[in-house]
Amino acid sequence: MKHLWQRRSLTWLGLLLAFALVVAACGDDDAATTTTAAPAAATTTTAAPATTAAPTTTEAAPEGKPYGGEAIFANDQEPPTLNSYAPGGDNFIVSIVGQGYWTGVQEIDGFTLEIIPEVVTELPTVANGGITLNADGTETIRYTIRDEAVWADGVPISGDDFEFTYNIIMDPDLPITRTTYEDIDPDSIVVGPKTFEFTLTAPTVQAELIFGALIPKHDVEGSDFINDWNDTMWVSGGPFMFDQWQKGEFIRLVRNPNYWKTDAVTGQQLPYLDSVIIRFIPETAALINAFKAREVDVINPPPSIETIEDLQTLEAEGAQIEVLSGPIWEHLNFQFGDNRFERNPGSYNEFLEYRQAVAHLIDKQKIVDEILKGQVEPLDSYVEAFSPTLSLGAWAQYDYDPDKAIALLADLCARADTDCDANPVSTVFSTTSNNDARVTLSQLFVGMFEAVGIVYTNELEDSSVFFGETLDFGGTDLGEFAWVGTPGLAGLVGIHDIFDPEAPPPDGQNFYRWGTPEVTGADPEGYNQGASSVIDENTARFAVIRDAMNATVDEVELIALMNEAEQILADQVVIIPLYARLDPGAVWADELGGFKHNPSQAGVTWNIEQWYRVDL
Amino acid sequence: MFQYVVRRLVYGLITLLALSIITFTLLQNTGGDPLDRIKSNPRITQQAVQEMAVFYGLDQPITKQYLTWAGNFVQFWNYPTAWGRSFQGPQQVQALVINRLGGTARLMFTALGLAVLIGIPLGIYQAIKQYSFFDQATTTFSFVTFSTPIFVLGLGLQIILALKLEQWTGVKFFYTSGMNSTSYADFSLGEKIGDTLQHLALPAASIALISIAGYSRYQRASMLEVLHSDYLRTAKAKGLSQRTVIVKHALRNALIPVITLISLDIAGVLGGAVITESIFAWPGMGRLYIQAIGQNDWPIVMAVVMLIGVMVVVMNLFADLAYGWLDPRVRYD
Repeated sequence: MKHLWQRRSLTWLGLLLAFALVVAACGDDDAATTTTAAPAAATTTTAAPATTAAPTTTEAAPEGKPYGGEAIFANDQEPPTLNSYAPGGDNFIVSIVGQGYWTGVQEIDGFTLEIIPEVVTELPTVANGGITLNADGTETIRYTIRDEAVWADGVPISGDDFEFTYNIIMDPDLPITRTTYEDIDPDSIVVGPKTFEFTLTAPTVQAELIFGALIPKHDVEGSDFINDWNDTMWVSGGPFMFDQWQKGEFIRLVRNPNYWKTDAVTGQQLPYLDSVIIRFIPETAALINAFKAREVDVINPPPSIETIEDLQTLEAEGAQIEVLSGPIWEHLNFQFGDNRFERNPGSYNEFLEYRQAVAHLIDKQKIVDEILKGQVEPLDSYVEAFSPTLSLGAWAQYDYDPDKAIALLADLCARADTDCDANPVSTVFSTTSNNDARVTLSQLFVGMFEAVGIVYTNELEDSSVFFGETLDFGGTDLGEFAWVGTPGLAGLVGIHDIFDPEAPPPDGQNFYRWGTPEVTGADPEGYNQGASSVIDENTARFAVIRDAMNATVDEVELIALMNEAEQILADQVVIIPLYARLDPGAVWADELGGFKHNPSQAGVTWNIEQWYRVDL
Repeated sequence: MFQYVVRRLVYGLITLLALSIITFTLLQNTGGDPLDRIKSNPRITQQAVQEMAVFYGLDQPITKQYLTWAGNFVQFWNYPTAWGRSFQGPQQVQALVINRLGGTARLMFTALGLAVLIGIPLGIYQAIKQYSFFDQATTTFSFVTFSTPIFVLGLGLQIILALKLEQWTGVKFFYTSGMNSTSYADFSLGEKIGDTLQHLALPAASIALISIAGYSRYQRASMLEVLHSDYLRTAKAKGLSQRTVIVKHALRNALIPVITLISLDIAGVLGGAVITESIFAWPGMGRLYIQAIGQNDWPIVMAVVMLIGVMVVVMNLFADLAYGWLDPRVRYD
């Protein structure tokens, strides 16, 4: 489970990958090729899209950007399927490719990192009348589809497509994740030619992420949905159409002549390029060499400092390297379940003084300087990885202060009535051994912990072990791994599930076991353990906040609740956010224009329709 | 002879059965769960996880999973469903594996062909010219290439011959990655051949350089042993020409141990070249295999291991039969 995620299809983004766990650590030419013919001309009598005629060959638009040409984007992963709803469709690369041909309710703006409407006229809110909070506690949502929105074959995108998408997702015979969709009352659905309305059993902000990838009823109806749409794609609603998949090598997308969007600045019809190739080059060194040799135009390489520095040397030759703070945020976490004692019999995680001491003894700036060469600032809150403007920076209270840490440890020894000279406080640190940054982190910790008198031990594990039994069973003392942030309120609300005291594994995702009750009868046995070492008024309040956040769509109320949750997590030092991973994007700017790197799950292809050849 | 072949085939089937059981058992005990990625989603429900487990057959007891897999695997004619689905998506393993066979065959047979065509004559000539400057120089070269890790060799060739050479000359001789250009289908026949060679040259050379070193060393040692044997001395004493002595009497016997090596290398062709295929983004079995291992995708791993197993059994039999052809003293009882 390496590299995850996406954009235009915010369906799975919301459902599956809002906070997907990051494991930083997977003849005959014709026979290996899947090709679709270009869609036939429109067969229904519909209003023509409100756009100009699509250019089909290389030609210059007056006073505008040139049409034509091809761009090649290279990625280290290949999609396991093209169908975002099929098993494996939640992989990041599926959406990177899908940006070309999917369309849905919403997309992420790469400049503002806000969720914006795509196929609908506006995102439904209470204020614009798109959302109605009913007296019986339900929530009705209404979409109005843009008049000009059509599929690539000219058939208008309609309410029928929304209903069909819903029916596919809810088909009990299909292995599709249905979270949030299950809350839709099937009897409440009202379908119009350009409208779609439904009622949720309770208000939830998660609804802002559904219907992110619409399925065209007229093309997919009657097909074997799971088996027929892996190697080829249904009729496009996006700027490009699927053309060819040469397995193990590349996918080719070609211009959708009926794409319904125009460039807001130039007024030109989109897209500019005739075709886009997505190539798959698994080795980072080879990816960089292919970029250096100008065999590819755009890359989004793994975020190692060496790679970034290597790429930056190409800027003089015309390359543009944009290094942004990505959505993947690394954090230290304390384990509050019983199994931590197997890792460290002397664990003091239940003592707030100990956790505060750890927060003070860590020199985050040094960590960022060593691991990321100071290219980003340390995190003062996990919220910064989602919506920086909403962050309180609640962990800023824990400045780097070894003396304060020593004083706190002395308080701890007094409160615990322990002779800390005879039995010094100890910490066992665990993370993945096959991630260079984390290995460096573990080495930096040695000096930091020992400087305040803590007996410190590193016990790193392969990621398959760490993200397997160790995390599931709470087998860490002090752990470190990463989650992925998602723009929008839905992502921020959702991340709090991982701290929900009412949700211990295996059914829940509170891997930290902060405030969780006893677990019995689970299989495998490792899940079964006693109640959390910390159950108090803070955990109780947090559980209330978490439930309240999932039952309102009032933005003001949500932000207040999220602020309170952030403050509790910081004050109680349940976790310690460290830094967000770098996210580099590189383009040969002297050849390709319109590229804007996007560090969110929208990915680098988020505005693929705006790319154009500079060298035409 | 017929009985010998049948007996060897029966032994081979038993070997393959044991191989499948051992591999399956090991894969079940390597840690990790194919559904880990799905389970790590905070919003996933237990019901959804269970549905995925049912979809992939992971809800069944291990023994039943194995028996189901084995029962389907032998029915390879039921394309493409016979070998089950990959756990990374809904794709059928048999289709994935067959898609990669062409790429792997192109790369590995080219590399093997180069290695045999260059390495064996080189070894023979080294033996004939033992301790000459040529022998010393090529021996040194062999040791250097043989001891160079393939990722160093591959990346080195990529940087020097694909990147730097183009910068120095302004002409693109080789590509850094891929099996063909993306616009390959639009090329003329001549352009297709040129494009293929430009992509194939570096990965094939990376593998071949190391194999040439191995083959030449084997062949040299084997040839030297034969050259110093009594029957060859007799042949020389009888006044036979050097050419007749070498080609007719020495070479045939000196090839026997090398035949074993080639047979096993051919058997390993299907496994691809994991590192080379990754470095050069070559769409082969090795890349598929290593990705599957990293993702606990055991249906793919089992399929590849079993294919290699079948090839080893077949090629070993072929090698033993070839001994009989090369050495009349060998009898099949």
